[in-house]
Amino acid sequence: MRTIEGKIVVLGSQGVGKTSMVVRYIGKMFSHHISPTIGASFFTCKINIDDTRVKLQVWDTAGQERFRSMAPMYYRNANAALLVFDITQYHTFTAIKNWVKELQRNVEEPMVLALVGNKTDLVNQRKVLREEAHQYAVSIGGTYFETSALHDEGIEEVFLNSAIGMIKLSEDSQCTSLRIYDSSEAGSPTAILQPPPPLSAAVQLDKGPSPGEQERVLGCC
Amino acid sequence: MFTKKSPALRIDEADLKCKSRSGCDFFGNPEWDGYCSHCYRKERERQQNDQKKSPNRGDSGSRTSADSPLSLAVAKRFNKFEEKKQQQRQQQEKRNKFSKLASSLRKSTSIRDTGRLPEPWLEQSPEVERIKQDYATHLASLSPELRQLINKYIQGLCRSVCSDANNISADELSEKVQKFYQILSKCMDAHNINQELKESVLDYCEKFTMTVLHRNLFCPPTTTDEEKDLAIQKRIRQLNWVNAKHLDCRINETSEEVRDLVYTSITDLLGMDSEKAPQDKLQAVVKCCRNIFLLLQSSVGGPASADEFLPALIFIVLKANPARLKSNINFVTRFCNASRLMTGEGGYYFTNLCCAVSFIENMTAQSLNLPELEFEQYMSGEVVPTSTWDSALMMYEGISLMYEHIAALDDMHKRADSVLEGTQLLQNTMKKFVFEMKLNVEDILARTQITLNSSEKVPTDIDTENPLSELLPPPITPQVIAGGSQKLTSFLASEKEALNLPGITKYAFPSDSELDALGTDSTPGDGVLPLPISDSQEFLLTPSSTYGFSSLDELATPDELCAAQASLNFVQGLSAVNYDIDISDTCSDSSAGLSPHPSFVSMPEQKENSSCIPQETGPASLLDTSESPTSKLLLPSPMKPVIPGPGGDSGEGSSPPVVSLTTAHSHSEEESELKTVDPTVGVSSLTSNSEYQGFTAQGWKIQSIPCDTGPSDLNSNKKSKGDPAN
Repeated sequence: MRTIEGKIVVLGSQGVGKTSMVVRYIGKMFSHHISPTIGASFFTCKINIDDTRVKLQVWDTAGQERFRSMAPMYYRNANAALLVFDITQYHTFTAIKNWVKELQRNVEEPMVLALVGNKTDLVNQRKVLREEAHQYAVSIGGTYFETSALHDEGIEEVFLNSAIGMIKLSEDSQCTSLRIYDSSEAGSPTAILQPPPPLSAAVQLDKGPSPGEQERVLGCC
Repeated sequence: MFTKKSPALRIDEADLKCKSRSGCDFFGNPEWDGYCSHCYRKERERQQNDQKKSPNRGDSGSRTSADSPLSLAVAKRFNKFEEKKQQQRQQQEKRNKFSKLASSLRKSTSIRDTGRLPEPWLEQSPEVERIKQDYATHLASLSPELRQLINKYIQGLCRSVCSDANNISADELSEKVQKFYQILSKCMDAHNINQELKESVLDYCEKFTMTVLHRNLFCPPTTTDEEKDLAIQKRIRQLNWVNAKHLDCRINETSEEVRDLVYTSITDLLGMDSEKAPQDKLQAVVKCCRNIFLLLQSSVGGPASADEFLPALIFIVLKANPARLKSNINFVTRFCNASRLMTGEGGYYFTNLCCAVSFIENMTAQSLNLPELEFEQYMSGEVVPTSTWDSALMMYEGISLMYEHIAALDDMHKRADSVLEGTQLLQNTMKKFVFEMKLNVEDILARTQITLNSSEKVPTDIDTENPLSELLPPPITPQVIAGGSQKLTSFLASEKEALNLPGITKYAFPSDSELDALGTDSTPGDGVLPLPISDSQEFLLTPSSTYGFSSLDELATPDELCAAQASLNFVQGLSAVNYDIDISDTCSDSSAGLSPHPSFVSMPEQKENSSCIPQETGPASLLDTSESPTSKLLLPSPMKPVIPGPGGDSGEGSSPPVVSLTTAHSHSEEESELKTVDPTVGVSSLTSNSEYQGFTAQGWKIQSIPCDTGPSDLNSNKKSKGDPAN
């Protein structure tokens, strides 16, 4: 079984719901047995796709403008970026364009880009058109998603897509920051490579025989 | 706030400084015998020179052990250990000739070093032993071959680092160490070690080598890390005024739980410096950051995000001001296993720490949302911003100041009351004084009735002196007499001038001499005289009607019995009074005008005696002036209360007139007292017009009628004084 370890960084202006999105995603995996009040900005989760296990490290970033200059430290060596904006505030979408420019300038390795329009629950106040965002996502070679962290809509797809994107990247030989190792010889498949830290989450997604059609959460660690 | 109380684990800065006697300002390091890298190098060179001079190898071999008995014992133990290792090495040499890299390294070093002094990296400390013990189980599960191979790599690295540490740059060192990690990783992959074991073995290797080589690799002499340490330390010290608010950081400083967590995380961060292996340093950072999340959770009341975490971390770094911060960060970035550093929790929090440090280094007024000027002022120490603690102190100060003021106000209130009491007392005494004066005046009046005629010279004296001197008998009496006498004379004179007054024409036309005689010594024998006297007295006394009672006086003064009757009438009943007073209607009306009879007015004009009118008001005005200043001082508006209070006040207000009334006619004190006892009667009687409607019906009018000179003022004073006293 192949294991891919990748870093995914969440970028976006302050207040667009970066953390809520991550916490919602991780928290749902935890909801069965762990208190929902997890407060952290670093998470790990594991997604199994086909015969590949993808370990995602989610790095949340501070969106304040004054920490903007520190952003390169965060997205260095990142394999994927979630570019989150608020569909009810157009300027957050403009900010994303700046982020993309910066990434394109500073990051040499290929990166999975996911453009996420958050807060679809406030769709009646929408300022950023879906078509516009979608076109932009295509132009930067990314995928566009719309989510609602409040109603927990569409978040899983975002992470799943990033994981699939990383698998694709791993097939690309020029990507060095992605840690790829074969753990097929490791013996027992239940063995978890790294005991999950208390604040991290592990997700197992097993894909059915027809890939992409049936996905069910088998369990959480 | 947090800078004021240092955590318990904090070490004094002096202990960390280089112990070199040359006053070096850098931080010392236990690895360097308490010297900073610079001084340590010098010291070591000196010692090496000494060793060259002394050829005795045994002595030089125990160089390091000469420092203390403890290190001597340790060195002995290590010597044994080294022997064992060397044996192993020799065996290994025989068996594993294929490992060319390791052997070449060993060869090169063995030529130089073997048998000389124990290599620095073998000066093992208890913590190295502990690491070995910790990982003993993991190592035991490895095959002996692999174990030896790993040991070989470790030794190779140690040796090469020790020999080159002072010569090659930190980046090259870092490269060397990273290569070592990669080789190890590949080596283990080649031996099909499972992932878990591999991780722990890598962990061990990293920990072991870094602990052993810490003194060589931490803050290498080729770098300027120490200067950077000092710079950031100074910078943080300069920024000690920055509080959670400036950073938009929602730390609830007032909660004890949060405060404890703040101290814990500060201690964790400070603990980073005391760890040797990079992953231990990372672990310290992670611990610190987890505590920050905990404190954010209890401050914010929910899961905290990166938006809140980074400012909080900056805050903690500012308050902790960790020693050798830059050196530690650089050490971790250079020598931590790179493939592991930038992944995982440790990597994330370490990145955040780097961000925090970079933010602190580049902090500007803009990044704190402060005006440029304010920022400069804070940085230069001109102005000290208020923290929560300070503001709480200030608030407390303000409250205590408030209480102080309240107490002062109470005191002032009491004093004002006492002043009011005093003034009331003064007023009473003054009233009493006035009353006594009036009595005296009465006496004098009684006497002057007899000496009336001889009072021709008196008026001038009174005119000049009276207004100012208090001791003189009240001006009323002399004035009355003077006026009377003068009027008499003037009247008589006018009589001479053929002014036809019907009542008088009948009488004799006295010559001036006759008049004189009449004034000086009355010759009662004359039948003519009594009448003019009575007449004149009538005239005399009418001016006193300025106070409104003159009519009574008029009635009373000539005849004591008459006065007594009148007073009795007052006391007995109003109706009786009413009758008596009907005559005085015109008088009371003209009270303001001071001249009851038009005929009279014209008279003073002819004579110089017009001054008699002001004189008459003399006593009243005296009372006035003495009272009103005080009233103005003490009370804002003395006149106001007069209007609303009719019933009770009227009695008091009317009392002065009553006094004057008594002075006017009383010979016995009982009578006068009777009148003062029931003053309202007097007033009402005085104010009563022909259509008197009864006491109650008059009501408000009572106040308005008494003349507005002396008495009303006195009255108002009394009333308003009484109010605050209550």
